[in-house]
Amino acid sequence: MTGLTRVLRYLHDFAAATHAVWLREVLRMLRDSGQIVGAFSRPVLWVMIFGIGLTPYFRTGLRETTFMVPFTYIQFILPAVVVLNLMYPAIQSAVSLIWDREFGFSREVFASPTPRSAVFFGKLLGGGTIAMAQGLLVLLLLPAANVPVSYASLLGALVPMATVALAFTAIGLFLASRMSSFQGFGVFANTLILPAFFLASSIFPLDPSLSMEQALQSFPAWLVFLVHANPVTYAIDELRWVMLGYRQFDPITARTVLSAFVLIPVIMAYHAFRR
Amino acid sequence: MIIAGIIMLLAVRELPPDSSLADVREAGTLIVCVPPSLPPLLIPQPGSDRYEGTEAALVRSITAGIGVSVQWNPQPGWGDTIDPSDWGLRPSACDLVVGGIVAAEETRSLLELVPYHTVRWAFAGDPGAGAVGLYVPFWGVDRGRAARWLRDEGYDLRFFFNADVAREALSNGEVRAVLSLEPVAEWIAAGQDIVTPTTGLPGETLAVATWKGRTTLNRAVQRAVPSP
Repeated sequence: MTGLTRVLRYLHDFAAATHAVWLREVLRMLRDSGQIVGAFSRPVLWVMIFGIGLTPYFRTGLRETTFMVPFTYIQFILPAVVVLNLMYPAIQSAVSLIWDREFGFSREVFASPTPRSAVFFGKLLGGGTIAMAQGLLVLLLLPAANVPVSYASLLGALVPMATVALAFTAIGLFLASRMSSFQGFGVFANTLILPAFFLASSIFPLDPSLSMEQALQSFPAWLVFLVHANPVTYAIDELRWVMLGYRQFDPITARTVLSAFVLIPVIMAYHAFRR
Repeated sequence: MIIAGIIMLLAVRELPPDSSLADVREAGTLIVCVPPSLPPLLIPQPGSDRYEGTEAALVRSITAGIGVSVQWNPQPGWGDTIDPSDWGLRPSACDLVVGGIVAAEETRSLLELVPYHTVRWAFAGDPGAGAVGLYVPFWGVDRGRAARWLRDEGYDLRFFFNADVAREALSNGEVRAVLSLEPVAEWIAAGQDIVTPTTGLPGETLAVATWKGRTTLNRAVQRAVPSP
């Protein structure tokens, strides 16, 4: 067997193992009725009830509001709900790691010649795929928010969506690698998701026309700091730019933060997983 | 279960997000805020509360589509200052806002626009050498940019704030030409074949508008208005 054949054989086996783990994750989600109910109920609750309910208080008629922004509240919140519907399934998909450890599946897989990295990437891509599917469901509500849909905007939305999906799957895998109880993982996941969502300028805007000094006069400094320090802020901002042509933050900063946001958790999760 | 969920989302998104269209239908009248006069887009009819003109015709096609009558609500302060907050326009005064609105950041921030026509800038008259007038009664247009461009081209610039005055100044030779958006430039030219489009300034998109948050009414307007 030549060196090249051996490399090709290894790559084939690696891809086959990754695919098998990926498929297992996706099938597990399709059979999990709780996840499916959550995937459909979150957009309805947040967009159709919360979004429509608060829209009248966000009208931008002359002299009616503080902010002069080119969108309605339901349009403003919709990209944030896309991200929320990515975060939950991405983190929850990592629960499978605890299940696999609990019921001995991990032992069998790790005893086989399958590379651990193939299992890791199968789980990462599986969680990412599940999250992307649930995030895309929210886009079905774009017409309800009067947001014109174009192929260009849909394609443009995929990049920030994939970033959040992979980053939160990796964070979930990192946490699950270090935890042994389902309850503990659930508490950690919620403790992470909800603050990350609410501190991402998801449900209230920081007025983009204000300088940092002016923003600090409108909002408490700790809140402005946390919103700016939260990587999810920039993912939502990128989605708003693609969908509404509106952004609050510098695009170069946003893309730099998002690149780091996907790379760092993936590297950390990979190392935790290999141990 | 997944198919049922998708069907639910598709059904739920058809729920009306507000009652603005229902309110207009119940009242049987669409109230339209307009500037006092903006020929040839909006021309008040003496002795009546009606308007004629291209945008008045557009409003009639919108009301025909919704199945209601039109009630004009002229806003005397429209265009008086550079800050639209001072014009007296309020969401409680009307359902639709019409009158030379151009798609721009300022107008998009305040209103939900329905664009209907893209137009070029044009000179009424031959600018040649001498004074050139600038008449920009459009909400959202960057007047400063148009003025800078004229100055950069070496024209002696005069500002006009009234269409009749601009037309009069052109006819009596006070200015050699008047720059405006093409439909208004043609009106100022008074039927003469002296209108020349210019590519020195980018085209603008005219729009009608609803107030923000009145989504069902905005959708009904979109259905009645041609795409630009």
